[in-house]
Amino acid sequence: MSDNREPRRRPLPVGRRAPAAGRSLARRLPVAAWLCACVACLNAICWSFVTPPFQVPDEPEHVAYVKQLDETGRLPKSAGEFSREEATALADLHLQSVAEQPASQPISTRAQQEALQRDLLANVGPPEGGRESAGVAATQPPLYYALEAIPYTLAGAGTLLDRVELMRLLSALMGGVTALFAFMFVREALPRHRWAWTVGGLGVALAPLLGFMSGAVNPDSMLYAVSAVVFFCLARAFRRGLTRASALVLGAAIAVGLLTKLNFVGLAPGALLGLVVLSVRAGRTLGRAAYVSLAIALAIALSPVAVYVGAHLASGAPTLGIVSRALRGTHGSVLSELGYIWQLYLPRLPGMHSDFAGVLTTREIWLNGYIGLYGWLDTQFPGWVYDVALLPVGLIAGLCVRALLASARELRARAAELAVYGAMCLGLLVLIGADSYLTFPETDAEFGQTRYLLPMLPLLAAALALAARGAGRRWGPIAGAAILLLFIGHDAFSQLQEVARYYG
Amino acid sequence: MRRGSTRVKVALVVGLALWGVAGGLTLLQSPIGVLRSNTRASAFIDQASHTLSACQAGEALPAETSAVRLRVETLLGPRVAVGLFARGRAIARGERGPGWTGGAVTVPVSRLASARTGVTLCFSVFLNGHETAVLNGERTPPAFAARTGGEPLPGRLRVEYLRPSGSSWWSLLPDVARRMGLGRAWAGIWSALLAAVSMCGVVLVCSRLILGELR
Repeated sequence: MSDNREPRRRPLPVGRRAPAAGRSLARRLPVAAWLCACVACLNAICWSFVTPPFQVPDEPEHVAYVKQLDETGRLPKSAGEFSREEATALADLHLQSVAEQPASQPISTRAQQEALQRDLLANVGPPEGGRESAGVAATQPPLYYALEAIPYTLAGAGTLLDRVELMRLLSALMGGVTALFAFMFVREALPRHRWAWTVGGLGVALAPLLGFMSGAVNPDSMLYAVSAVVFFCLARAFRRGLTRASALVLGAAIAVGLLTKLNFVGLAPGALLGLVVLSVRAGRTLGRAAYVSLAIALAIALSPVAVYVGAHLASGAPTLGIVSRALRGTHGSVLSELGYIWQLYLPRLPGMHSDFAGVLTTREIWLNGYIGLYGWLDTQFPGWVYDVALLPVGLIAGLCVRALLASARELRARAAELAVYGAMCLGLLVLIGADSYLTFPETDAEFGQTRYLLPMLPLLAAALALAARGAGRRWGPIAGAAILLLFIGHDAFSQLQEVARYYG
Repeated sequence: MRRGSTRVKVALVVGLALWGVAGGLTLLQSPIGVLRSNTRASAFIDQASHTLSACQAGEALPAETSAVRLRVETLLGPRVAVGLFARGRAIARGERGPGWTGGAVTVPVSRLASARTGVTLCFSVFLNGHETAVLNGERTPPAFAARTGGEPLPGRLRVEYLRPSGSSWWSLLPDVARRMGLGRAWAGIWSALLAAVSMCGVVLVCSRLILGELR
């Protein structure tokens, strides 16, 4: 058994800068971690070939953002129209009649393809100016779009569809980063059973929803990646102690998250809490130096917020931009909102007003959304698949609970760490719920999409590793193999469902 | 340790074989196709946020209908029930649970052996008072419109009758591969080929990892 466990490392002296920590970490990454990243990347590439251009939620808006940023150097606005080039492509691809209409399919004849190609080529030329609309994407921070501007520029001589293909490949790379750090998170959080790391990392790499979103132009792909990095940094620091270098890396990762997508605002409080908890621990041995590291890390982490507020104040806009508008737009009592947020995820408690009568949200929004809801939320499996899926979901959950119960003492010892992960999850769930409540009751659950929960993928990785361990030492690897085979089949059939929807 | 590795190897081979068989059986199935539509229009008819039950007479059902697709649009779809009646007698029924989304909902119904005309289609959309559902179809004079509680709606709901087509997925593969290349940067079957190669790569690397790490 000893060959199957990671050798116990002596913790680094708290606060002392690890020499060339980054390089050392990269060298020490197990081959399995790189292979998990490779699988996630290949899987996302596969999804990008299966999914027609712009048939992913809000992809037209995200492409418009990149186009605007690359061609004019200015940030886009919500109002207005798409550029002529993109509007032509969307019209020729029949986006309006296909998106959210499962009865409609994309173009299917050579004549339609020739017309599309002719129109696309007619629009290749010098960058356009003055069409600044990116619709719902315009409120998002610019980091992901700035990175996507690189493939956009590289394919600049081609048509818009050439550029979309290349941009999708960058998103696929981010899918690989997500799986890599999910693996590394499991390695730090559950260090004793080496074989279980692969179950966690590969499970995430094969998650169909990760492949679907990472095979598209959408900042969610980078949000998942940076969230996985933050989870890994926290787990590593909780296990080995917080050094100045790791504090700064964690602060930088939080800053990158805030610059990637507004949804990271939900994870940030929990991550900052983790930084504070770790610094207090380090302070017991290191004293003032630990708090200096904390101050620098907080300054780095919160610098995007300072820039955001400063820019809005300078332009006379509300201090927190769209966040201010959201806060002003809320309605009803705090209790009503809390009741709504609770019911968005869990069954109603006695005394709560029923906000989702006839809908079991845990299953019908979130679980079914994970099992299979692709395209513009219009591509689903036949109904029986969701019923059958309850069996493996129940088995995995049961094994996971068994492993947790067996490690009750260890869990108590790691209560602070678990509280930090819990705070991150809670923050994200409350953010999604509060945003959905803004349009309630006109819309029951505007942001009731499972993709918004994927920043918590590292915890899914840990849950899968625990489930495999829950089967015991003898059957654990078999259970792990069975889980991964289940995920392979789920992923393959999800892609076949997408093929049937668009090309059948 | 060797016995453990053998068990994992067996699990891997059996698992992949099972998925292969499932994939083969799926390819032998036929895609669901539209046999007939009661209209080609998709105009706005009505919207509701409370449970709506309506019936529309004069529907013509093709033989072997096994599902009906209703053009009801909503974000968080509620439970939907459908009943088909001929001369006052139910000839098929079906139900779809909540959680669907988009511009249409497909409800499986008990398969019809023969074609029927003069059928009355009744549907219920069990809304909870919050979420709004939009009915799309054809605006008609009141005499031909769908009716709810004896009152006519502004038109008829668009309904499509579906059944598995005559061709298997297997026989349609070349056409599916060709269509996967349309609407992309370069036309051709390269999309389908690259997708297949990527998926094979995924399975190979996963197998290598499972065999190498899960010991």
